[in-house]
Order: sequence, then structure tokens, then C-alpha cells
Amino acid sequence: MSGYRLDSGGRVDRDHPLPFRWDSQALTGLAGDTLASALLANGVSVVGRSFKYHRPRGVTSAGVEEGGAIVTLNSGPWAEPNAKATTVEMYKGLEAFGQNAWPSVRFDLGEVNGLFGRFFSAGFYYKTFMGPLRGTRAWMFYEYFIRRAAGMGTAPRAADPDDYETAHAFCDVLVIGSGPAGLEAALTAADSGLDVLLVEQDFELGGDLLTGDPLIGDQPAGDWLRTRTAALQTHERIRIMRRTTAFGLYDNCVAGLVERVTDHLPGAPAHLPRQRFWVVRPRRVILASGALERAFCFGDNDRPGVMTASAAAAYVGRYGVAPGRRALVATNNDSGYRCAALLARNGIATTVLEARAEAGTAGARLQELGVELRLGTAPLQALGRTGLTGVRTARARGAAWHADQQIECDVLAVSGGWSPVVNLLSHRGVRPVYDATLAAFLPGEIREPIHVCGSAAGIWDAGDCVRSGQSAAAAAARALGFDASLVAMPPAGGWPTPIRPLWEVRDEIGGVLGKSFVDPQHDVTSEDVRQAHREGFVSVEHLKRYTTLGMATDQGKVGNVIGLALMAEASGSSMAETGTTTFRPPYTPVALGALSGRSAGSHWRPTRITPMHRWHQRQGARMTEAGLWLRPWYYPRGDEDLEAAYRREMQIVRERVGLVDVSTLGKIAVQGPDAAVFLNRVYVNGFLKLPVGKARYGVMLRDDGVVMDDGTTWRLSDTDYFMTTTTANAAAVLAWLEQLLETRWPDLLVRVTSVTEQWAGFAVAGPRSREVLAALADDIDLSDTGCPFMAVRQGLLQGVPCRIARLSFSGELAYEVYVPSGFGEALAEVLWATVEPQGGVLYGTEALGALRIEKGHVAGAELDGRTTLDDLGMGRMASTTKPFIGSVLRHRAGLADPNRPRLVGIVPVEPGQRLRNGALLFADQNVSGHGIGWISSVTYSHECAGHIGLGFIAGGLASWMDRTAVLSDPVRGDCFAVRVVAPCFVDPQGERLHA
Amino acid sequence: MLEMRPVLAEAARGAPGDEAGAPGAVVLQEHAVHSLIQVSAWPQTQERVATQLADSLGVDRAPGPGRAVTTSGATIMRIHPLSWWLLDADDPSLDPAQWMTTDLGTFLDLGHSRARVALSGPDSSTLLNRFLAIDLRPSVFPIGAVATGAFHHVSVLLHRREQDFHLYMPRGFAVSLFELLAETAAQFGSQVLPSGTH
Repeated sequence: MSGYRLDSGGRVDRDHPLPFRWDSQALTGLAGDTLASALLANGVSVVGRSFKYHRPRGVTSAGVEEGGAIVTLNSGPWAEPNAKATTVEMYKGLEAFGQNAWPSVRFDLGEVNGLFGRFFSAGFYYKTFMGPLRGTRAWMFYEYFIRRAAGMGTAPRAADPDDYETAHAFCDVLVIGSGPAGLEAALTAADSGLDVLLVEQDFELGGDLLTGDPLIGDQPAGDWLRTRTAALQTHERIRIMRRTTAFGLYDNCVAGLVERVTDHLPGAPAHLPRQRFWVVRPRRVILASGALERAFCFGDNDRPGVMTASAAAAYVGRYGVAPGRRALVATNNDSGYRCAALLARNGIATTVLEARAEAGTAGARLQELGVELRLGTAPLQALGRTGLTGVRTARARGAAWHADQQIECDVLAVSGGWSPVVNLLSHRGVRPVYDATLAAFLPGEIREPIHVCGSAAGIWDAGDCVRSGQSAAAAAARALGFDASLVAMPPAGGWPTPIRPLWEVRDEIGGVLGKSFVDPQHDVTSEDVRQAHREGFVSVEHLKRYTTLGMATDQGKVGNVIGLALMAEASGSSMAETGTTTFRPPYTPVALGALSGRSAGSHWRPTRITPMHRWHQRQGARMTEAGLWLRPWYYPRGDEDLEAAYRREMQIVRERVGLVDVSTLGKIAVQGPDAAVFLNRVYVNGFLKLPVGKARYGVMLRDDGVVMDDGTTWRLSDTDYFMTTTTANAAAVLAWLEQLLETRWPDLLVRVTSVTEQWAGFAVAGPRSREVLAALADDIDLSDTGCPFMAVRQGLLQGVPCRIARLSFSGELAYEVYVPSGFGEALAEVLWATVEPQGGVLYGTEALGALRIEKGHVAGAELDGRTTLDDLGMGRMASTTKPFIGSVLRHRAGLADPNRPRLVGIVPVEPGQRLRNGALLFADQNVSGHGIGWISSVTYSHECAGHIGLGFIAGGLASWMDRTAVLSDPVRGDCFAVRVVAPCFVDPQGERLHA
Repeated sequence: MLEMRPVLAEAARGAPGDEAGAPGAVVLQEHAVHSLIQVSAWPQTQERVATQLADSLGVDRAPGPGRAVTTSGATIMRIHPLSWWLLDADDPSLDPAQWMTTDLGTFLDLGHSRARVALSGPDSSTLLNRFLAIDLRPSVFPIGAVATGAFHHVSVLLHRREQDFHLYMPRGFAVSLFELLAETAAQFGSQVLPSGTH
């Protein structure tokens, strides 16, 4: 094959050369080229190596169906494997490399695989699991080599350095495709008053018209395209998106698109994403996605130089590139003649191999151009290795083909028919229907607001395509209530001479010379299809998975129909009976980065911070994630690590005073005349008689009796409550409360609203906490009598409204103080200005957890969705006089079993032993299985001079108090004796709380 | 007295934008929320509360679903079948505490729970549609329209005003979301103004 640039013609800009590199070789393309057309223009024939056999491959198409010219773009972290050279828009400095070959695609040692081709047929991989080596470790050995030998490009391991983004769009009509049907549909719809979005995967509008077809009606196609494009671009109701692929259709006509924003630009402009993922919500969809040409199979049909006829025509007509100097055009339908005419008009010696017995009027016109026409002839085998040198032909005798003669050529353009692009309809569950006359699958019945027109509907004539676009747009407009004249949809078809269905050319005894590829990308041959059938894989779904036909990046665009036909032939069924597999999104490969959009790096999920976040950072806090929140974890001094920091913080809280940011706690306003009744039904303990100005600790259960969450609820007025929840369950509790009010108790007059963001809060804990707050509160009596334990006070603190409750999570004298969030940072400043001189401390979640463990207070590690009130030692908290959520099912035998694991305290028998979360507990040294309990929380305790823990053990304190159990941690290798004690390690009488 | 701090002051200082302050295609600025009170009715009192709200603001009707009404005194938005937001009502006579009773409904101060960002400029709706799946075509989302949507999985509220959009975001997520807005806005040419008290 010896492609070259024509002196004139095409849509490329010969005044705008673009240097690029192919496999480190410097070459030149033109503006308007693709990588494939530029390679052909430079005489490059071998562009890739096949998947299994490493056969040399060249350019086979001019679009997304490409199966041979699969390359790697760029290098380093920008490397993108498996790019189709036929869709890569040329730009200055483009870098591309061959892949799946060593040392190069031009000369690849992997080609030796071809010698063992008979062992690599369909299903060979599965067969390596069977046979005499089955059950041995041999497979683990040769699996490594199989994986190394196969495959396509190599993805980079570095993080993707490009930015991407997502976007949403809305329109009345989404028109997919900008061939004659799509362009006309967009204009007609817009002229009818609809808001239109037109998307085109190519960088130019026009579809097949870009090849330069002679006429649409009486008008030259180029003129028609120019005037239509101008009208579209100036129409106020049309938005056009080029370089944008509609890759999927979803429920309610939602479409997924990927826009290539900067892939074609050398050096990405600042602030622009590389690609953009669009979610488009149209009211109607017009599918003008065209059709893809098929070839048919014959021996060694994968040789570089073999391509579809439409591809050859596109390279000549659009890109001004001759794919070779001596061309054969093999066809079984009228469309092949267009290619032959283009080649001949551009000075390429051309012979047509017509599979049919007659060619009709198209053939007669060709002969005027000096094109030789051979009727009843088809290619039997392509000759050559790294480039086509000739074709062995066959003559038809009846239904059989007989080997005929050899013809020299360097390009073979094959037209085997056309397959309407129905992939997007398939995403919507529309099964295509086989039309035997057209030898094509056409769209089946559509029950969604989608209209199909043009070649996507099996319409071949360009003028008919235009009318079909008008028809589809008019139908869409009328469906949406706009005024539009009805236009009859032209029927499918449009070739004067019927197609002769042809799937494979075999010799008179049915043999194939060489390998006949059905799916070139996965090296699936026609023999593989027949072998699969012989081995019992008679369903089309099994055929697909067993042979991998249609599972490559082209998703069967090239080979599916041929494979189905061969399978039908083997099984003696019709195409309709054989059926099809289902096309699924994406239509063409989509970068994962595009789907992520800006949800990457620090924005991969939203970050939630408290109003004091920056202030904490200035104090040197190390932050930790608590769900989406960032919370201070610890505040290291000097070179303290976590261990040293939290031990210091907790000690100072116990001895003096500390501040911890508790803004993240869930906070819910519960308002209304029935608020008390509502809370009384939700919590296990009574809330009806909670006085105004008091808080109460409450636990809520799920319907099944398992503990859901805990917190304190403050009564602010007769009808106003302030509920706190755990940080982790805030949203779940709010949703639960809303669900109860809307579905179970809609008669209750209660409103629940999240106020988590409204209030910023600190816990002030320690023996000096009262002094600290008293110095700052303007009008609140914080004395023991003025603000007793669990009291709630509202007033002013440094001039701003505040809520203060005397609560304690740490077990020390403590208060929670809240101000409106806008004052949160200022609150931090004044509190710290008061606490620091007292030798107080800022403490984070590590010390917060340590303190509550010492006190035996349960938290998320204990409220893990499996534990009950009785498990937690809180059974007596539950009211026996009122029903509440979970009150019935918590008494189920399984939940009431006294031998269930129950909350206990754990200390090591040997001082200095370190307890770890998640360790299991066993009754004795017979350590096997899952044990009789586990450790849920651990910390170092100054008060106990060692590590302590909370955990659960079968039977709880009733069975294990002061007894010795065995701790076993198989993950970290610990195994030692522990003693079971009461879970409260500090001030069990609560004297400090009530100070 | 403790000083109130704007939510996005530091985020605005660090945001990409035209340094010269030249007019950009998108202008972002935090507008402090003067006040935000959620007024809610019970199902059987919805009409009465709506009437009371309209009377207090001096308008014919309280806004219906997806709508807001703005006067010189305040803005009312319908955010829920039974709830409205009363925004920036500086006049004490507009305070629902003057007329609300528990048999009519509830009211709740949420003035510190949201950060508010004003987006203006010809590409502001394009910028918003980078994140919000809300149809912002003027024929669908005219001046006075209000909608709730998900911005990076966070519930936000959008209001189209005469000259700009107001985007209300939960305070805790505001910095994270504002960073996304500012980074994305840069492609249109953008200007991030210091937090203001409009």
C-alpha cells in the first residue's frame, strides 16, 4: 500500500501544514486531517498489531468503527492507549505511537504468535483451565505469559493530569448527527419554534456529505452543506456542539454526551477542561446517527490496504489522500460505485469487482470514467503481509465461488452493505429488526419520544435523507404542540439495484484461504464462529462471550452483523431467528476522567467545615475526616505525635479545662404543639414532662428494636425543642423524623428542620469550665444552682445570642455553648483567650474519644447497628408505660437473650499490654472461631495508668465481672489475658459531673 | 460584642479571577444574608399563613411553588409546600413573631445556616449549569423563579433575580462549593469580588 497526498481536492488546508510524530518519526499533516489520513498521506501502511496474532494492521475505515489503526497518543501521564487514528483530529505537535508490538508495529517479534494460531482459537483461554493440567499449579505459571502476550495499549500509572468537567443542558429537541438528515431536522425544528441542540461527533458538520457527494437533488452537495451550515450557525434557536459524541441514551430521553474541548489543541489553554461530560435533558430526540458500512469476509481480509469503500472515498474526497495507486473496489451493492468514481476521477487506476450479476446504471456511468467492471466477481484472498500486493479473486457460479485469478493492487476497498447506527436505541431496549431486502438491521418499534431519520432508518438516498429529517422534525414539533406541516417519511432503501447479501467469500469447497476475520480488533475469525457453534455455543449471547466477537472497543460495529450471519448459516436459522446481542453505553469509549468531571482530587467529594475551621488551622490542628466533615483531630505541640498529643490534651481537660469544637453534631429544631408527643414516641425514655429549660439524654431505636442513635434534646419553650444527634447520623435521623411525620403520624402538628449549620458550638469541659464561661456570659447565671446539671439557658454571650447547656460527654463539669454560626470564629477567639491563660487546652476528636471511653459513654463503635439497649446496659432507661418506636420488637427472644454480647470494660491483666480495637475475646486459651466478644473502643488512660477498653462479651458483667478472658487479635498477632470490669473507669459516682 | 465573619472571605481572596478587576463574563460575590426566617404552616392553615405573609409584605399573594416575590422590604420564597423563606426583612414589623401562633404554624431563624453567592454576567447561567441540573432557560426559569437542586451532591437553592442569580448553600459546604464555582468560572473570564453586605 502506498498512500500519498493528492495535489488538490479535499477539505484539508494545504497552506496550513502541521508537523507531528509517529513512532518518533517526524511527519507532516495538514489542518483538517485526522491522524489516519495524515499517516496514509505519508505512505504509512502498518499502524497497529492485532490482539492475539500480532498481525500487521492498517487503516480500515474513516471513523469510529476503526479496528486496525489503534494507537497510543502522547506519553507520560498524558498517554492515552487504544485511540482510533481515524478519529484523532490532527494538530501541531501531535505524538502518536504504535502499540501491542515490540520493538515496533513495523517489525514485531510478537508476530511469532501467528505460528501457533491454531492453538489460539475461540475459547483457548478457558481451555487452559481444563485437560491434564487441571487442578495443578501449572496454570498459575503460564497465565503470566498469556497475559503478557495479549492485550492492546498500556495505560499510564500516573494520575491523570488533565481537568475535566460536567455540564447540564436542556432543549426541546436533541438532534444527534449532522449528515443531511440531521442538518435538515435541526433547521426544520428550529424554524418551527423549537429550541434545538445539534451534536456531531466529528470536528466538521456534514457527515457523509464531507466526502463530496455530487448532488442533493439538483444542488451540488458542497453548496447544500455550505448554505445549511451557515443557516444553522446563525439561527438563534440552534446550539451546535461539534467534537461531541452522544454515547448513551437513558430513561426519559436523558442523553450522555462527551465533548472533546481541548484534545485537538496543542497546549491546553488555561482554565479549560480537556473534556466535558454533558447530561442533556431534551423533550424529544431526533436520531440522525447515520449508518456504518460493512465489509464482507474473505481470506486474509485484515491486510494493510484493505478498507471499506466509504473509507477510501472519504480519504480521497474529504482528506485529499489517495489510499493507493492501484485500487480494487469490491462491492455487493450500489454504494460501492461512488467510491470507484471518486478514485477514478482522482487519477487512481480502479477496477470494480461486482459480486452481483449486473450493476445497473451505476456500472454504465463508471465505464465512462475508464473503470473496469467485473461482474459476478469477489475477492477470495488478500495477498501481501505488511501491505497489500494483490488479490486472488473468485467468480460466482450459482451460489458458490470458484477461484479465478490474481490481480495486482495496493488498495482494496470493500462495500458489503450498511448497518444503521441503532446503538442508542438499543440502550433504550429497542431491538433492531432484520430487513432481508436491505440486508440490514433497522430500528424496531420505538415507544419513547425518539424519532429516527436518514441512514439510521435505513434510508440511503441523500435527497430522501433530507426529506426524512424534515419529517422527523415535523413530527417532533407537532408532538410538542408546535405548528409544523406533516412530511411523509421516505421508505427505507434507495438503491436502484438490490443488494446481494454477502457475508463471506469461500472457495468452491467452502474453504477459506488464510484467516478470514469477522472482528479484527479481537482477532475473531469466521472459523472461530463456526467452532463456537460446533462446541455447542448456539445462542448469540454465548457466541459473543465465547469468541469475544463484538467485545472490543468498536463494540461490534464492524463484525457483529457478519458474525450473526455466519452463526445463522451454521445453525440453519434465519437472521431474525438468530437475534442480536444488546448494544450498551458507551457508544464509543469514554474517559473515566470525563465522567468524574471536577469530582477529583480535593473535590472528589464535597468538604464540610465548621465555622471555626480556619481558626483551628491557625492553632496548628491536624484535621481528620468525619464523614464529609473535617474536624480537629489533635493539636500537636512541638514534635508531638498523635499519641503524645491526645494524652496531653485529655489530661489537661481532667485537671483544668479544655475546648473542643462540637459544631458538627447534628442539630434539629423540633417545633409545634405536638412536638412533645412526637419526641415521646421517638425516644425510649419519657419526654412529655421535660421542663422548659432542661435537656435530657435520649436514645432512639429502629422499628426492629436495635439502637439507631443517641443525643440530648433541649426544651427551649412549650413547643420548641433543640435535638442533637451524633455527627454521623444527623442526616439519617432527620430523614427518619420526616418520614415518620409524613407517613406514620401525619396528624401530628410538628415541623422538623435541620439547624446544624445555624449554630456553631464548643464543649467547655473540665473543673474550671464554669469560671471560663461565667467570665464571658453577659446575663446567664452559670452557678451550680443557677445552671444545674442538664439545665439549658439562653441569653447573651459577649453581646450575641447563645444557648448553653450543662452537659458532659467527658465526665467532667462541662457545658455546650452555641452561638449563631457567623459568630463561631469570634467565639473561638474569646473562649481561647480565656482558657489559655488558665493553662487550658484545645482538644480534638482523639482526646474527645479517649475521655468518653474512660467514662464508659457509648458512641458509634458501640452503636453499630447491631446493639440493643440491653446490650449497652441501658435497658432500664426504656419506659415501661408508653409505646415508642422499637418498643415491641426489642423484646424478641433473640434480642432479649441474656447471653447476648453486652457492654463491659476491659483492662489487660499484665500492666503495659496494649489493647487494640477489633480484637476478639475468648473464654479461655482455646482460641478459634469468632470468640464470645470483641473490643469496640480503646484508649490510654492516665487515671488507670494504662490502656483500657470498652467491648462486648457474651453474658456481659452478669457473667464476667472481674473474671479473666483471653484477647486474641489474629491480624496483629496479639494474644494475652484481660480482665472484665465495669465500663465506667472514671468517677463512677458522677461527683465531677455534679460539681 | 462578638464580630460576625463572612463565610467566604478567605475563599474569595484565594480564588482565580481577573486580577485587574476588569469586567468579566461572570462575576461572583458573597452577599451576606441579613436575615432568613423559615415560616411554616400546617396543612390546614396553609392559606391563612400565605395570606398573612402577603399582607405583611404588601403584595397580592404569597409566592407559589418555585417562585419568589421581592419588594423593597424583603423577599419571600416558596421553598416547600408548607414553607416559605423570608429573607432580608430588616423592618421589625415584618418579623413573623408579631403574628405567628403555634396553631397557625412555626417560624425559625436560619439566618446563619446558609451562605449566599451572587452570580452575574452573561455566562452566569452557563456556569451554574456546570453543576446544577436545573433548566435555566429564561422561558423556563424567569426572573423570580426559585429551585432547589444538587450541587456536587449538596442541596442548594437558586433564585433568579433581575440582574443576577442568588445561590444559597449550606454554610458548612460553602467554601468547598465556592472553590468549584470559582475554578470553573475562570474559563469564561471571571471576577471574584470581596464578600459584601448587599
